[in-house]
Amino acid sequence: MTVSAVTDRDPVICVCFDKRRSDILAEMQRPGATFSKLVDETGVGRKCTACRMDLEMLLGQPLEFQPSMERSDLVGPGLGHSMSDNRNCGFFVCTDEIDTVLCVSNHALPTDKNLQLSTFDYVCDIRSQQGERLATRRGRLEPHGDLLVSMRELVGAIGYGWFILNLIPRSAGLIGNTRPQVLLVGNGWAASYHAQLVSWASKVRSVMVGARDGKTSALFPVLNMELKDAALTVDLYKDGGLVGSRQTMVAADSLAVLDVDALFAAEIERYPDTLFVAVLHSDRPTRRYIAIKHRNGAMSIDHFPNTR
Amino acid sequence: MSLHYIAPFIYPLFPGEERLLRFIVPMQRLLDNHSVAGLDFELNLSTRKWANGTCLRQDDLVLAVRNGRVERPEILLEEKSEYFGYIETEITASIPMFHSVLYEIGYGMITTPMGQASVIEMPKFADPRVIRQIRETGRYSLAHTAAMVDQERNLDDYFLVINPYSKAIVVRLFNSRGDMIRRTVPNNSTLPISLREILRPGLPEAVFLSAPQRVIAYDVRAPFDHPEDCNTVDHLDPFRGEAAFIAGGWKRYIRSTLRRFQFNRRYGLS
Repeated sequence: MTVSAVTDRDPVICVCFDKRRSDILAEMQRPGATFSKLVDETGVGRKCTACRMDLEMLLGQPLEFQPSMERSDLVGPGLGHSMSDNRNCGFFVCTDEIDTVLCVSNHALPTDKNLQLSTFDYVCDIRSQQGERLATRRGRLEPHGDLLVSMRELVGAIGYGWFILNLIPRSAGLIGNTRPQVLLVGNGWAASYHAQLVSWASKVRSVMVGARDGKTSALFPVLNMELKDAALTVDLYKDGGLVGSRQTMVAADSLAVLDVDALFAAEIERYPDTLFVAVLHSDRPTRRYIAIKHRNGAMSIDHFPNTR
Repeated sequence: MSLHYIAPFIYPLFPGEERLLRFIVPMQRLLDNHSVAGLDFELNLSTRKWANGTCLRQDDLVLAVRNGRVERPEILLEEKSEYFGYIETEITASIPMFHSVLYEIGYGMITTPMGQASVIEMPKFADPRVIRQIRETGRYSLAHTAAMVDQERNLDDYFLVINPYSKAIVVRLFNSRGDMIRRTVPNNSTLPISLREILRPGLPEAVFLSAPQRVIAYDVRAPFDHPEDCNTVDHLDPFRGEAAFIAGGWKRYIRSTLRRFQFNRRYGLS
């Protein structure tokens, strides 16, 4: 065995403290080992910090890391070439005061590497709250291009609605930053959230909801893109104990907007300043969002977390 | 391989007596979803409050777990701050029992004089998307593709950058036309950076953050010169170094094509 082969197999990770891959892994096998202790007690990653990412990659590898595509492996459309799933969905609000703009960006990173971006065709299907098709917009998103879709320009001040935006890759490249953002712009405020993959619709998700002076001011828009109605149960927990539960239906291909204060008026009156956990169960996969109204008319908006 | 810990997670702190961060650590759910079942051991929940390079407070809470049941299934944590800062929470166990270093805690709530904003926690390290990105691009980068400022409407947009490490990090913020802001984020500090220098008024645009090391960043919408009065706190996305097409695997190809066909036809998405 040559010296270089040994070095390749057990490379120096931290030059400052002369720690090799095997040294790091041995440290992590010791009782009570944590990444923070490794850094604190051995000093690796603290002096010049250049190895911190290598440390993360090394320690992340056996746990979470899936190898990415090498650049030479990038392929375009063709038989046997599976297309990345980039069908995104979300809800929107269009009133006289609020517009919603879908924002997609297909830019490379500010990096020395020549990153190859894919060209995408897009199809945006825009629906009313009840599922009626209001508009369809199609086009092409080239590398280094942006896509902005103003919902109010397309459908007018219709109140709530929802959309599906499909980004179909047409050439070899990376997905990059093409995850769509949904921007709501009101009178003196703006808020945004990430559209999410249709395929990530789920049956159970939870979110924290804060009551303050007897109000949460929270709405739960719930989107059902299935062919059948969904039975939805909302459970409200405090300190791990169930304090209230409500049932409702979300019709097929529609968006229900639940008002948390109306749904749980008695429970919130009983606990006017607390942090609840709301768990939304549905018998069919649905998408859930949280919008919190502010006193000045502004909103905070987000999708529910992606894990239970 | 089981581990003694999950990666520390971080929430931002906004300054002022009326700005309160509240979040719940779901200890039992963490054990149910993420650990070896039915064991007896001790869990340590350690929270450190940081601002301007200083650890202002550390609290440790030891919880007994018996037969897989933790004595307090949920822990509510609340924090205020005089300065922009962050709170870092770490969970360790007395025996190696976690399956993964990452766990999504869920949204916290930031109360302001005007209302509440939800905020998701960020892992201090080990996010597989970030690791994949670094391998592909050689650099740490985040993006927000719907940044917007409009002074006429008193609408500002900030990147709130948290450096939870012990050395200063220089971050660069770019728009797609190449305009740049360069700022140094001191160690263990939180810095709001207004994007107004690189954005055109009233137009949504993409803004990219680039740094030689990982940092944590949020997009914060607030009035001009008052980032503490945020109405929404959004996370940023790493550049995805994954391919738009994956070659090979006929089974995968046929399965994915069939699965999409019906849905795409129904919505006219092809």
